[in-house]
Amino acid sequence: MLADMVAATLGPHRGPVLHYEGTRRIVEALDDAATALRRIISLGRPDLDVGAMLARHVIWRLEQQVGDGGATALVLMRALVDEGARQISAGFNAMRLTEGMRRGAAVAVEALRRQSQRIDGERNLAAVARTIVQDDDLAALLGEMSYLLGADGHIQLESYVAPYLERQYLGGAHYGAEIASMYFYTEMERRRSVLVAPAVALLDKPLNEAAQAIALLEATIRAGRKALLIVAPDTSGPALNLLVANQMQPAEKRKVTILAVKLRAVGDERRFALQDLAAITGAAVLGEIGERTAREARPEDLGRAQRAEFSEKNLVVTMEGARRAFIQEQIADLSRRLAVLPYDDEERPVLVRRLAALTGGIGVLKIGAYHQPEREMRRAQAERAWKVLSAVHRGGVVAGGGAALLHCRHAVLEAATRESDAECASGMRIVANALSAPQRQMLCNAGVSAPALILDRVAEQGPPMTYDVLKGEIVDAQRAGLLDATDIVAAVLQAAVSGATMALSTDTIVYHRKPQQSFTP
Amino acid sequence: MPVILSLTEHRDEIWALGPEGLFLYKDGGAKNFSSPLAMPQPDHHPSCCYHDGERLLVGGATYGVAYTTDDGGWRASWMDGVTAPVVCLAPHPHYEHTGVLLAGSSGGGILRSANRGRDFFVCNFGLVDFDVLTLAWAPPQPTGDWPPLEVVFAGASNGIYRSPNGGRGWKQIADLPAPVLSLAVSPAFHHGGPVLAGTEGAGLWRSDDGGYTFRPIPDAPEVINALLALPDGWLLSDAERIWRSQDGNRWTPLDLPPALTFLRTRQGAVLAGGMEGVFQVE
Repeated sequence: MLADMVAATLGPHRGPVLHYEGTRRIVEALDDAATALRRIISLGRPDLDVGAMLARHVIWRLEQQVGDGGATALVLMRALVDEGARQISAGFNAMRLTEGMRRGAAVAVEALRRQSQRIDGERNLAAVARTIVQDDDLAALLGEMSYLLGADGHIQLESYVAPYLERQYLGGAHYGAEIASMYFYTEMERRRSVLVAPAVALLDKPLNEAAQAIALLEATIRAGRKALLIVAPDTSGPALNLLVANQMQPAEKRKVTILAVKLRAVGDERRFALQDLAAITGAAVLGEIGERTAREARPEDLGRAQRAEFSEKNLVVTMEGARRAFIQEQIADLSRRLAVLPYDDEERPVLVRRLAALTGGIGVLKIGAYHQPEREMRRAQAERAWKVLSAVHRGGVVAGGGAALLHCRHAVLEAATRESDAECASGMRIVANALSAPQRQMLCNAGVSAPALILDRVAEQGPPMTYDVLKGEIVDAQRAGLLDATDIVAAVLQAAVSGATMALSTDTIVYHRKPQQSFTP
Repeated sequence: MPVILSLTEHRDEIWALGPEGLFLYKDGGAKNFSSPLAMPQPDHHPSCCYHDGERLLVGGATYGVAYTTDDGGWRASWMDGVTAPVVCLAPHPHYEHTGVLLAGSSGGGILRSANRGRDFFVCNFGLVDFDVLTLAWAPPQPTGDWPPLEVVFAGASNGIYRSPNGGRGWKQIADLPAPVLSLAVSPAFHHGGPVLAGTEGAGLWRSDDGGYTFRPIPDAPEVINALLALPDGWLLSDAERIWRSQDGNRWTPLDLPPALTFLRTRQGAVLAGGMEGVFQVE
């Protein structure tokens, strides 16, 4: 039942699943399987509920792992379970059969990796995005942003209440901040402050004594800098008076232009922000953590930046080009940690923001639509496409439209002929036959009259050919831009086989009338 | 004759600019390149100029870019806090409609103006090196091509950057051992035409894949001060002479003095500016 529901979301002729919640009178247009399945709490019958919850759990885990491919996985899983159940009824050993299915999946994944091709360039990335968002303008922007930001790039999505689509690139490290005094604005009418090539002082204790401010100013002059950015938890009292008095001197007499700010982050987030600022500027943190206090500041304690800008409660620090070589270790460490985190992990946005600060910036994608369901659907599509594009950077692409799985069929069948255990071999053949199910479903969704014939022709021509249902012809997937992320297709296959083997090898079900509440399926 | 670093044209006038000042050649210089008219300049050390049809914009002044006003004076553009000197100006291929102008600065990165040079905004996203020495736009994309691209290349002291979106964001595509002084994009760029990059000491580099990767060209001059893409070939100038090539790979020297900049006029004539003023490349 669930596979039938989400199968309609496969391919370019797909449509969203409309979810209507009667009590709140809200209609949602859902075009990803994971969210559509998440809306189902019960099918009304205990025996059906168990299967539904298993499918729901498998697809939700897949969504967490790679961010896409739920409908394909469910269609695959349906084909595997249907055929597996038939053979078990005919007397095959369920455990040997499922073992064969697992082996078949491993062979198919290897075959997938052999088909995989690395791509770069905004054209190919936009083509991948187009297969998900089905919107040329949005796909073009996503491709461009992915090209510029790379695999670990971070985008912020902003929603607007009218049709609107735009992107913005924010270079440098961005932090929410408050300016210590309006006298530090260098452009009062624009309410912003820009420092070019400033020295950077990082303090983990409040700056409130005149002696501290004098020490920082002297260190700046001795460092040969004409501007000073001070990041401190608080700047007040005699220190602030002294800094403001210095700032109010005429520009031609002033030796040091100052910008003093306080970061809005608190706790661990502030500690990490100071740590990252220290990394990108080369500054030592003065105060409790560091070796010296602000009173003892020396020129070597100050960091350097290419530019520092404060406006609209936002501090942007752009690092000097030469500094990049010194922070490669931190970047590699954050990238490693990020690579193993699920997409919906709470820590992920924090790590991504930190990585963006170290690698040079973030992109902002602004999406608008008149109606809330449309707005939310476009936003969800953009998020999903972004995850897929990250996977494309890491693992490359294979032919889209389900053709890549179809092209693995031959390898699995060959492996099955070499298998000595007949029941295992049968399990492998089940996998081989199921590999055509996603493309068959897409052809059915498109109303193609003889899907079996087309599947045979695509399989005959081998990778990287696929069937373009819009043009009605077999095409080179790379040239036509019909591409899927290799990592996602592999994860889909593994998830489907895992779900199917679990369903087929289960003998007894314990059904709780009042299950324990859980936030995850 | 004055040293010329930058050339621009307006109707039948050629404006030339160098360390000795701003000069005007009437009648497109067709009659005489030996007697330029010295014109008032906005500041010392101007380094680049561009005439947009209404105003002359000059980069290199201590306050950034300056443009002429209707009363014959000069006004400074708003430079987004950047005080580094602007060393190159590059108008969008459809500048008349878009008003987009890029400025490369020595130390401040790249600035982008969308209002014909009145206000510039820093567009350094993706830049690692902020010493930008040259900028070159690819020709406009054929109508109907998807995704829409506005490709620009920037040459910096550490390599080549590519922007797919008209200079809003950049990606470093080649880390070269010498500063990139000149860039030229084939008029057939969108049909596989190459991009050439001339360096100060590391020779000539070429891309045949839309500017994603560059490889060195053997037997080309080591120091390349100026490059120009023509419909039927390429021009290059090193410190000794000007060279010509049909395919960008094999170069033959011409009997002409070296150039620091080239300009292809609307009539198709090629002018060169260098240590010996302005001259025509036949």
